[in-house]
Amino acid sequence: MTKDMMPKFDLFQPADIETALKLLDKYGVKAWKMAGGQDSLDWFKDRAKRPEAVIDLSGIEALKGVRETEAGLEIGAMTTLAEIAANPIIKEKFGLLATAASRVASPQIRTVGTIGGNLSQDARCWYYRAGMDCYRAGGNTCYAGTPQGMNREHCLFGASRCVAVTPSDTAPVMVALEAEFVIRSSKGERILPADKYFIGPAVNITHMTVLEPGDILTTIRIPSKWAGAKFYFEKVADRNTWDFALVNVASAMKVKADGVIEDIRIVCGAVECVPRRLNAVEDIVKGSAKNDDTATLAASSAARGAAPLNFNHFKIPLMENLVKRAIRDS
Amino acid sequence: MSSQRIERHKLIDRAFHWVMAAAMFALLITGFAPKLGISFEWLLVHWVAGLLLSLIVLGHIIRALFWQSLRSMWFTASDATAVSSLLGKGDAAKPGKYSLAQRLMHHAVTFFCLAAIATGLVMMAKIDSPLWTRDPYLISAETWGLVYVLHGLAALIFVSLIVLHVYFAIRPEKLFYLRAMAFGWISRDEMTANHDPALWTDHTPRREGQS
Repeated sequence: MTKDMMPKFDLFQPADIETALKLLDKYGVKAWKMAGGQDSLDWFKDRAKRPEAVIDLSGIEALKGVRETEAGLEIGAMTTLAEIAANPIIKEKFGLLATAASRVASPQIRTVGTIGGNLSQDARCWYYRAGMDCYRAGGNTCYAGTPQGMNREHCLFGASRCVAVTPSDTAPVMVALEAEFVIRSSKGERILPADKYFIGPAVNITHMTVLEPGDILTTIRIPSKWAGAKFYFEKVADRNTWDFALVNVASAMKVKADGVIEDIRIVCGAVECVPRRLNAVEDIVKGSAKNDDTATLAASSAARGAAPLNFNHFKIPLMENLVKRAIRDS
Repeated sequence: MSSQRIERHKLIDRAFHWVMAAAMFALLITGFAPKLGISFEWLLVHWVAGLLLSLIVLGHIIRALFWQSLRSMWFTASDATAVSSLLGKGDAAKPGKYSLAQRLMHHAVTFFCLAAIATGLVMMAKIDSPLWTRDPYLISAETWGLVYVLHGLAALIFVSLIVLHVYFAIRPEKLFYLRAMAFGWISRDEMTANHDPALWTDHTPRREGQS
């Protein structure tokens, strides 16, 4: 693997969205959108991706910042993870997001890494990252999903030739909080619920999100529906910092005064190519008392339907325990 | 129009044709739409339609071998007159049940259909199904590459053949063939105008006195 210097590309640093969109239209699939650059530069140094033009979005001020609106919260896609983790409004109303953002990678990476980049990042499967010609890279095989494959970090659910998982810590949070993603292109603007933003290999094996070459994720809108709810986020990784989740869980829960769970959304990351919403768990706990028994019962259904690979069976009890703690301890 | 109807395709053969057509369209749509940027969960539909097509083709082969006249699909010396006619040299002799163009189309479809099916069945080893677990190491990487290229090539040529087939099926002077594939019969006038009854190997009059 060559890691000496990046191949040549043209660097553009637009100051507004319109210019960025024109550049994306001009270069099409040969363009690369760069947010914080924490993932992009690795790709370039590894020479696994060789764009002709890199569109650096970091100079577009309109894509930055956190704003309160009547409907909830708007977060610019280029807002850094450190800003999100420290933002007082987010900490007060949507502590779930602040916690998840604070668990991404390392302090240095969070200082430049953006929420849009974290949500839109590519799979971490090392066969894919190593530049092998797997399905996700446009080839015709999956090296991780074989009996001999190193698939400890890979999926339990939704495998369709590719077995990669979503590596994002903030993606499950967005699904739990019913966030909406605003996407701009030269054709206009479209708004998608978070769970429609992420796509699995059965739909498109070379993309993790619906973003097309000419699209820019501009804003994340979080409705006020879950503001101030009981939240729980936990990430289990091999290292406590600068590592991707083996499994993470994000939940938002409303509990009545009598201790009965009124409403809940609970989502796991790193078990499927998209954040996995645990509908069965939600159905079980809604209307039940928030206690250890309910948590234990719900946890037993968390991994229902899992199809583990050779080396990731451990994710099933891990997922069940995280769900149990999310319901019991939030 | 003569009142006599000549059976051209039995019900079972028409059923074969239309199920085959449906499977092929499902395969082409699920195979090419994602390449055109239309994203959806195509794989399951694709391989199920592929298996259906394989079974139908197998059934058709068995039926053709034991219940139908293979001779009606062979080339004969009289086909040379059709070629000469195309080159502007004399009139073409009337064919038997199937014209030279129809037989050529059938054989081309057969060849590329079998190529797509054979490579597609090998590619099934790459996916999990209720019946087996995937094994991408079934053949070497180089052979996999060849399998994918042949599958794609056969599918692309298939698109051209289907365009041709549909075009000729809906041309006004050929519409009676489409009717025959829908309802099974052509009239005696249509038969004598376009075919040589002496070479028509498996016709049976159906209903007398009806137009």
